[in-house]
Amino acid sequence: MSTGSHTSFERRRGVNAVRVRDGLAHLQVVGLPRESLMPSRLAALDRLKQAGIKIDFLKLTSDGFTFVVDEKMASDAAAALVGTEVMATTGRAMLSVHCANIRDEAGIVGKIAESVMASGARIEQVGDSHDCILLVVESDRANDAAARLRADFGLDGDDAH
Amino acid sequence: MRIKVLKFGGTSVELLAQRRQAALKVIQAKEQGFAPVVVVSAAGRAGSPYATDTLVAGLVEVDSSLAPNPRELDMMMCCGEIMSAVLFAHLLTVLGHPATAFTGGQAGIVTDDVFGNARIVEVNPADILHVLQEGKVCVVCGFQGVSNPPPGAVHGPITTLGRGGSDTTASALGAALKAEAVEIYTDVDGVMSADPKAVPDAPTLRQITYEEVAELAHLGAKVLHPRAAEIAMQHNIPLWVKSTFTNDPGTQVVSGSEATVRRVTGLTTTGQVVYLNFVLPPNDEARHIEMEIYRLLGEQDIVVMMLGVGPRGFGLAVPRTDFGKVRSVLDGLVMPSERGRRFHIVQIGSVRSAATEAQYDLLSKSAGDADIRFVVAETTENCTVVSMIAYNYLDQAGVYLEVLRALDDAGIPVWQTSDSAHSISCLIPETDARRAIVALHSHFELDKLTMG
Repeated sequence: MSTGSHTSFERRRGVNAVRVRDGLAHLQVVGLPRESLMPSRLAALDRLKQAGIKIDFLKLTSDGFTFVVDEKMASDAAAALVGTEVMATTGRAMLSVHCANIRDEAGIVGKIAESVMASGARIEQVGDSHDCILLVVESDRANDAAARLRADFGLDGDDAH
Repeated sequence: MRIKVLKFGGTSVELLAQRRQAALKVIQAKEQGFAPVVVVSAAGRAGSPYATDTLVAGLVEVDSSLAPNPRELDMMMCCGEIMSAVLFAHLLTVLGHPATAFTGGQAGIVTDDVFGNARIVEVNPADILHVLQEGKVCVVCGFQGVSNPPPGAVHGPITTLGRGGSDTTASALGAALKAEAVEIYTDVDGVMSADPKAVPDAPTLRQITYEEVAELAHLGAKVLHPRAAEIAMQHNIPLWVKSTFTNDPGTQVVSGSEATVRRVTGLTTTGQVVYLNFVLPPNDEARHIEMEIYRLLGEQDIVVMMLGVGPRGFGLAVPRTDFGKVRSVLDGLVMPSERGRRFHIVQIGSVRSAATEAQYDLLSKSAGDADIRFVVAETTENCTVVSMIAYNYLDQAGVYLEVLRALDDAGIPVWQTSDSAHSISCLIPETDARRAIVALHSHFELDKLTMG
């Protein structure tokens, strides 16, 4: 039982961790026919599944979709999608910017994007969940971007409570 | 001393008959040898005489054009819980179980100084422990605390914890008191695989992880607040969600290592949103325009979600309640190029508004040979987000495909997706929300998801 001592609680507001996941490839499937866009996407995703390729960070675009895979799987993914127009860029990293209750923090997305761009990194894709903003950037810029984010949001190390 | 925290929501404390049923749960815990600490919400939901919304409406009706001071607003918002706590403590005393009511501040809950959405920074439960040691029940007002005194003051002002604040109070007290269990009582049997209004036979989950329940809560399930789940997880407090009105065992929230690995846990829908797809000029200014739009929306406190970048531009969704504000901020906005005589005018929707036309006319006349381009935001109104919460779902190939195919088979368009470590979300037409839940519930066989 507690002796009544003070206990600290709750994650800090705003950004509380920045992580880098390296060794990824970003693939963009483009030029799918507008009149059968979703069936074409499903067919392409089915081919990836049949090839046993785990994809991550799926985003739908006006003429296809984008996703990331482990860099080692990039050529397999492209091969599975043969016959489809695919742009695959290797040497990519995923920046995960963690923030408690991100959807209660208006303006945080702009600040994060601004910070990443100020580091010189180019944002190729962006996504969000309730507690994280995800950005695909070039691997060789990812650590600079992470350092800039940590500096701009007052994080000393990788995590802050 | 074995401590159990029992939290009762508004529907459990609205009327005397309901408070009696809630009180029986407290007495039962006491008879089992626990020292009970009760956390109560304000009585009833919107429309009830002492519900928080009703109390705030009393302030607003003084002069609807003048927003109440946040400090005073928080004081008003606390009143419902204070009434509930006093009524509940008196009821327990009348039933032969002496009880003492506490405000959040008296219970030792100290918050930061953000009125309306304060976060708990520390809890000092010494006074609660003192009363428990006397053999009494403690009844604590949920949703509130006090912040540290501002410079020059002796006492800190009352603060409220924002949405789901009473759940957060319960978890925080459970952690501070090292309670054996925190039980969140509500008007359903526990955490269900989907909203029973959409899926009447949605099963009650017997066991769920902290991560899953936090994800469910974040993505729209109203049974437990995510902050409460996070505090319980951080302090490893055994957490239960149960019904005040039945003897169903409810849902036990456990750590990931204790849970049976499951593929899909539940389905939720979140909010009413408008999707905007900004078509950007194919030049190197596109990213700066994107940044400026994010910045301006943030300045107006507009939350953006369902982000994505495509070959023609970028997309985002905003709450429908904010769409008017988005239109007023962005429609007709002129963005001068950093490269001299080029201007971009933002156009919201496929038809140019009077504001946009006026800006174009003005620029055409005043800037002579300037290069004027439009950044058109194609809008899709009446959207919602349907989410599937799944544990380690990314470990399997083809999950995105299964989700999209289940929705496509049901004839439901998907405009964008997003994901987290434990969920995948799809932006769909709001009118299809219920059908989407039914389709996914059936496709992933959630009706079979009864045990842990």
